[in-house]
Amino acid sequence: MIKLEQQCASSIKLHMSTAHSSPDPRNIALAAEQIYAAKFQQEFETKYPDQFAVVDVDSAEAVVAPYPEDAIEKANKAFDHGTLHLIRIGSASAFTMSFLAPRDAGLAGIL
Amino acid sequence: MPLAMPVLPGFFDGKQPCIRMQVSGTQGSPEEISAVIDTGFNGFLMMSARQADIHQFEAGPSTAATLADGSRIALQTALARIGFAGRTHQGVVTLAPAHVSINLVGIDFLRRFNLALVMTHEQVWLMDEPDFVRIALQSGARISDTGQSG
Repeated sequence: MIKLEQQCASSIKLHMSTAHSSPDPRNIALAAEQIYAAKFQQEFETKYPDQFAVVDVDSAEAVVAPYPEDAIEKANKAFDHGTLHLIRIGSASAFTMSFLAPRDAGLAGIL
Repeated sequence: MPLAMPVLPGFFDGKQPCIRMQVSGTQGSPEEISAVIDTGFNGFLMMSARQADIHQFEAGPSTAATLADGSRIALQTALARIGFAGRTHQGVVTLAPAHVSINLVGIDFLRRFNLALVMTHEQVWLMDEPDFVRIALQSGARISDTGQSG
């Protein structure tokens, strides 16, 4: 049986390569959200509701802190030159905006 | 007891409440910008990617944002030093999609700078949160542990 982490990593590598991987936030977001859902979501939503997680796609690991700037600082120390994605635990997105409409956002970044 | 920090006026740009602040990255001098106050934005600050390039903001992680209609979009973030009311804090700046040039300041700005926002339909002010809480308590308001006033 292939471990869940190995399955996840394989799926992510396939996704990144087929998506013509580049530092595109959409590619990183999709990959990171897969890792988060598979490995951390259940635990983090129980233990750290409304805090912030930063997932490193390269290592499939994550750090948590109460505020986004603290989570990013923690991640920068933990993951040297990692490919990082910021998540608000318990929410679909880290941020909500009432000012921007989809037409402003363009189609490329839609998740 | 005098206020610890004076009341700082914002301004209205048309119908949009705005404030001015200084931004700086790893290069160049601090620059004054104006930003629309978006109480529906729960982040710190949103700026254009072009501004991030000019000031050489430190690159941050990618993230996701939910827009007004519920759709989700992936965005890049950066770390920038923001100056306001004589204080400076580093915060997470969400970089807007390429063709969006507006700056937005969100609710997390208030947390980071420990500010209260007071607004009417044509006036906007920011003040030290402890000062505002003291004034509110003196007027008979009750502040719960969660910060919700009664």
